[in-house]
Amino acid sequence: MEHRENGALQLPYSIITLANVNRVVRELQAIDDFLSEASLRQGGTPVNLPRTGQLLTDFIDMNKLNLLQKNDLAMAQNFMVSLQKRAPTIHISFSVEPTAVFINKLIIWLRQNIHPALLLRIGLEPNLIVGCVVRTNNKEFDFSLKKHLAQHRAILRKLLFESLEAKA
Amino acid sequence: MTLWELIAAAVVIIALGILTVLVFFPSSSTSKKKHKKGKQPAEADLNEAVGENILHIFDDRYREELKNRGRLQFQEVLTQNAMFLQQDLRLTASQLNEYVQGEISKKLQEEFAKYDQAIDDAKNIALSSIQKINKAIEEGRQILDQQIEKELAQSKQRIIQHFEANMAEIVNHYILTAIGGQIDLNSQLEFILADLEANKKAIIEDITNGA
Repeated sequence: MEHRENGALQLPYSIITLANVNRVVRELQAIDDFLSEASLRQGGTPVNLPRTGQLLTDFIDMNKLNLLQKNDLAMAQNFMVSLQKRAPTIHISFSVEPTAVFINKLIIWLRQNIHPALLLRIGLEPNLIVGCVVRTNNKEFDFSLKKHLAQHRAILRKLLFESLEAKA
Repeated sequence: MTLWELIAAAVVIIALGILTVLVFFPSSSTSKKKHKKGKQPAEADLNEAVGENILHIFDDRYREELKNRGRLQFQEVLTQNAMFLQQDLRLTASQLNEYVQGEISKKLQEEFAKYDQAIDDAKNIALSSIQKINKAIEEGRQILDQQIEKELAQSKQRIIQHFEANMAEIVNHYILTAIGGQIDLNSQLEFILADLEANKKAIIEDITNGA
């Protein structure tokens, strides 16, 4: 877990996709609603505490927030809503469904090297076999084996023909 | 010699026989009468008597005898001539046979020679034709071989070009077919991060400045 630096909120590595952000936003909204209702409730009436998920918990823990404080709650909500609207997102396609460990390692690297609030969208393209394709807003970066082979066609051709000549 | 010639010869012979009989016998009787007159009067008288009665001597019987002799002689001549004729006919037939055989043989030999020549010519023509056909077939085969070799070379070149153009996809497809179900992303992480690192600047720029 990373810690808050310079007063800015940090995004935990468990929040990876926009769906995760939406979920956290809904949970924060539920807490906000609960607190508003609590301020209006009369004594003795039953209270249904809102449930918080692991994502929100990680976010709170990472940023050491107290959501019972209006300022913290508002800050968290603003941060998450802003992420909902403007979070930098990249789309990465793999040939198979990546494991959670793999995604975790990948998001750590991306947050550390690309952008600290980067979100991911994971896609599947079985014909990639090896590697991945990264798509940003305007660009596409093909890191697949097919692209790699195409870029090194001369080497591949040389190896193939050497192999054929050796067999002949 | 024809039958008409034989008949004419027979008529001539008969006529000669009659003339001989008529001419020869009177002269002989006259000479005998002269000869005898000089010797004896009795004989002369006799001769005169005979001369006077010549018609009595050469009576019908005598003439009949002469006729018979002439007939016999004529028959003999006829027989001889018939025999000669038969011999001539046999000889002629034999010669004719030989001639005909010779002519037929000659003709047959000529025809056989022509036939042999015709067969030889036909054989030569057939051989020439077969040689021409073989030559044409050989030329056609060579042309076909060249075309096939050319087509094969072009086809090979096309396949190689196609393969080279789509080599990456072909190898990719091969790998996908071979090990597509055994891909482990964790083992690729290092290479993916290396690629991301190589394109880090471009990604950051696009994220920062992109719409």
